[in-house]
Amino acid sequence: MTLADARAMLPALEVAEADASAEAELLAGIADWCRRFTPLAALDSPDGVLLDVSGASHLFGGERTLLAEIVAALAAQGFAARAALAPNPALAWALARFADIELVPPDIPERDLHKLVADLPIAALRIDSETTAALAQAGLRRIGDLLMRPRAPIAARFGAPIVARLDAILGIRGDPLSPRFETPAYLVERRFAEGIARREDIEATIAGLAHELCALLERHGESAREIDVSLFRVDGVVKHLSAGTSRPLRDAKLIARLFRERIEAAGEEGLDTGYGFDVVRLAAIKVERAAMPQSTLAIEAAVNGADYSADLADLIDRLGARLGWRRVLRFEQQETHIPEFAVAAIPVAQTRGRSVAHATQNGSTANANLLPARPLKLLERPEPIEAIAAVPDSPPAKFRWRRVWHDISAIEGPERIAPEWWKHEEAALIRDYFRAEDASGQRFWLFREGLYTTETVEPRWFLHGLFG
Amino acid sequence: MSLAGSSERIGFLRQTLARIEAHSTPAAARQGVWRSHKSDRIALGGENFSLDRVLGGGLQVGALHDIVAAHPRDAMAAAAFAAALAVRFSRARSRGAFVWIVEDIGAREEGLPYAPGLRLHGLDPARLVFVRTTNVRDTLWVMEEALKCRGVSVVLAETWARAKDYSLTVSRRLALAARAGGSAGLLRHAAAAGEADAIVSAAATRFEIAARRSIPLPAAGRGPPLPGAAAWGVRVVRMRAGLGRAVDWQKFSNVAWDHEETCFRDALSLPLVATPRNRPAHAAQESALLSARVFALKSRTFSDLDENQRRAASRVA
Repeated sequence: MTLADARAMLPALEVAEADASAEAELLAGIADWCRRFTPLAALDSPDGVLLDVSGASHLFGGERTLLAEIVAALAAQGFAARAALAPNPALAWALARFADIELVPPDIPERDLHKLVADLPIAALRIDSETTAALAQAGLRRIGDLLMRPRAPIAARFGAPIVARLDAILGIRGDPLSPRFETPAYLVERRFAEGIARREDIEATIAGLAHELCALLERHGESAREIDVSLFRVDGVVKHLSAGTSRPLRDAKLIARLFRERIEAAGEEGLDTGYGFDVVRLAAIKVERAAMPQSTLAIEAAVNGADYSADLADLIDRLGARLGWRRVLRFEQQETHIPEFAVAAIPVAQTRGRSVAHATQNGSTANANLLPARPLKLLERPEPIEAIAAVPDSPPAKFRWRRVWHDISAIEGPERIAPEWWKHEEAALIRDYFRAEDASGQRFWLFREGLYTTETVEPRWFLHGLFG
Repeated sequence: MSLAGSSERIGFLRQTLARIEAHSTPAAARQGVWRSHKSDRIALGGENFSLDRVLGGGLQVGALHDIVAAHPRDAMAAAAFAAALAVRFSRARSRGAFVWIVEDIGAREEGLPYAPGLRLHGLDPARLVFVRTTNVRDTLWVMEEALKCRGVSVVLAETWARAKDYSLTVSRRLALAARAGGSAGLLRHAAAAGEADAIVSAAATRFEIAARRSIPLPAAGRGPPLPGAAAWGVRVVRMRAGLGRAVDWQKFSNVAWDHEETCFRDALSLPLVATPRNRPAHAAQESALLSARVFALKSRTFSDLDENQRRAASRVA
């Protein structure tokens, strides 16, 4: 039906543009909310959510009660939902859309299952509309029409996928679910009759859960590397807080403190308690065998024989939790000689690669002596300067940076740094670096970009770093 | 009473105390009260370094030290001096992390610490934990937490805090944290250049830093000379404990940083000039010729210094 036809029939019709991305987002929100019933919640675009509740339904008073609760809770949020529970996802999908049967018990006899499936229309197989139409043309309208026929001719005529779908709906072949989030290795949660909204309550709950989680981890001899707190708000919104750790962690107090920092960093409005949270869940997403005494920190923190590296790791975890891991960094050497890429600042918690430590393993400063001059601080990007030089390829006599003229009184250079030609960077030019000192004692790291006449007619000057 | 006399006397009294306490607590005797007192200060330079004499033997570990530039153009001098102090502190304790905190505004103004440059400054970048913060509140929080941590040997924070963000209370918290953790705190006030006398703080020491021209090395050809080892003018503005009376609060003493030995030197002392080891190419030159030329250059270098120091320079020559 076209929009014009619809309007002719109902003049008061409200029209809104379909917003696929907003719908997908909303559906993701619903899927997140559904994780309160099971950690295995999968998005089933464009209009469904699949939950694997095996082994979870008894926690909610049986399968029928669980179904009713989900539908009622969604209705309270303003969603009209149809739900069905079946031994396999394909059947549940079909029942929710094409039948009034809500619940198929897992121990249903095969004959009953066949009868049930046979009554469903072909569209319930979830095959594309062309195939459905082709089947309808051949007079096959119900799944039963297919089931009673030999399979080989059907597969030959309508394609192999249709047979696979038949197997899926009968539960002969597994139909994989791809959950929205990784299933946590360990999970503890607490449910409240009414939402909790005070920050102290939330923190205390997390602290309590941390104890349970640590007991679980202890029993299995494992430690957490990545921990996640999910806060399920009464009105269906789910908040996630996650914290990575620089070393395997199994200490309830430290875990509680990490999340205290996270909540502190998020602030009152970031947490947005609203009507309060009625489910608080703490999950260890990634775990490691605790037996591995693996520290990603290169820094030895033993002082006077006492080992303080645990203290240091704890400090770094807390800084990471509060500021974010992209702000707690260490330096790592890179495979390039271009000054701005020679060293990368990477999060301390990341697994160790080639650290700059290797270059000065024994702290010998003798080789440091042979290194070319490098500034104490490097500007985030080279800043263009106005430089005056006697001839285009000589060191500058004075330059202007940030609107101030500097007269150069001492200068060292050039140190020539060529671009990485093996990377086919056509645009890159050769740089000549100079270490310059001005009349007031400020020291700069300048470079001229481009060789005069061979590369460019007008070489440009940049200031790249500052010496102390 | 002369200065030497009083310190001798105090030393004697401390030893007596240690002997007395030895009877009650064997552990204290073994450690030695006198020694433990001495080791909580770190000398900045070698023997007879003038700033160490001013500071009464060096800088206190487990305390907070403020660093301020004398003029906005001296910002990097202050940063490098602070980094040099940090190197001193982290070398004194063989292990423990060096935490360097930089605010985002500082990154835009001066760039970020550069590991190869830090190595040339005498610092092992492997021990560095580099923290970036967005605001003053976070900077001070990180600094306090890091100072409290026993696995950290020195914390250097560069803050663009205005006077209202940094109060006596805040600085006292930092000083207490430093004392509790036994680590040194260095706080550089990047937004307070020239206001060293106005800052209210509980720091043990406060330095004002000015950029100074290095002692240049002669160029191989005819061109301008090469810049030498980093040098700064250092003024002690405040000192909480120690020989406060003996300090000339207005005097800038010129110091140079020896990144090989990782220690400060008086910028006028001879050894630094006579053995220019930082650029190997020039070390090959005839030392006699070199020192002769260096003396000629010296008068040019320190022409901006006051009369007093120039006289001292000529005396050395």
